Amino acid sequence: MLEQYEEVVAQHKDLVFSFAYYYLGNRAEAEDVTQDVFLKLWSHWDSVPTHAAASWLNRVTRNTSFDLLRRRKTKNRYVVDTEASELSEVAPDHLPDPHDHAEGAEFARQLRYCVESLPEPYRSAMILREIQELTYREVSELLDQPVNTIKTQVHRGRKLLRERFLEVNACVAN
Amino acid sequence: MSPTEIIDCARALELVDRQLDGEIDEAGLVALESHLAGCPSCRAEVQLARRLQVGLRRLGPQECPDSVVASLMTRLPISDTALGRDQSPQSDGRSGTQSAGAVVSFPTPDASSSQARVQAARSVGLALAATVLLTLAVSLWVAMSAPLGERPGELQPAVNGVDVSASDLEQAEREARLAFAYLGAITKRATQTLRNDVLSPPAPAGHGSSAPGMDNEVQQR
Repeated sequence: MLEQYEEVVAQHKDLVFSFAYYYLGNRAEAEDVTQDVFLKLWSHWDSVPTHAAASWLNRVTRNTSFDLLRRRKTKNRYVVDTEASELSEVAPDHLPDPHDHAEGAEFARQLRYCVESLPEPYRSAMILREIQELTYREVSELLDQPVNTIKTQVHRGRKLLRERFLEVNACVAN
Repeated sequence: MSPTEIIDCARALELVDRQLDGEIDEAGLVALESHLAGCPSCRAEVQLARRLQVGLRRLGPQECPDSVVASLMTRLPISDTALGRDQSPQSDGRSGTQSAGAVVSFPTPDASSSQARVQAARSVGLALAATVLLTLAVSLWVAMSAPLGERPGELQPAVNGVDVSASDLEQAEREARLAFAYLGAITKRATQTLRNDVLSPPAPAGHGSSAPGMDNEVQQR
């Protein structure tokens, strides 16, 4: 049913787009991935049960994003990233004045870079748990892994993130 | 955990994680704060962990732009194959009685009716164009077939002073006949399309909207 397909798209589009956005660190690519993922859903509609649509979409989003990353082969995106303007769209409510705005934008850019540089499975776990603020159970369902495994991944991901953040700041300071 | 328990740095960082998740109990909190009071490196680690968590949450989920969905919908391959594919009751081997594992059947009566509307519009447009051309051709024929002296407007040599020869008239007559033949073919084609696609659309064999299983699957969702 086209209407049902549209409902699924409406229900999950933000999750798919958001995940791809933070996974890839690029809005245009995230838009492309989102379209590709839902086109794949259309072509596999028969074999995707509704109750498993979310985890199916997340798996396909990760695979599609990962394929794109492999093709891109662009490292050190933090240095060349020119999407600073996007950061101001991220959380304008939390950035009240120009000075704070600039600091907040820089901090947000560093964070995004650090998340992008995390290896799997920590990157997916951190995006879903820390940025999307899903519960451990929801993350476990999306990633199709036990809750305790997800907790371990998030624990390790946080530690890695701190290390990356300190490295980035050391580079910026030098 | 005992509130007076002394913990090491590794244990302290585990408790920090619990705290970040809002799952730390009172005893754990006391033990953690006790450890942090005497451990500057853990204190710095905890401050950074909290700062990063707040920062990540401020990044927040991103909203998918409407243009992405709009573009997606234009890219959906709604073909005849896709239209018929899932309306077959045996298309996925499911009986249509289960709900949790049910799958959505594709495509839809909506898609079919949308396609029929497009065909209808195309046929009506073609028919209108043929009618206009036919009217023009009849007018031309009437003008050409009238006696020379009674032809309207500029065709009257007496009025315009133009000398119309017999060969000019024959040439005009040939062209008029060719135009009639062309118009006849167009009209016939438009009529056929109108009759086939709009007035009596064929019932699709094996995947009509009334096929058993289709309704069942539709109702499941």
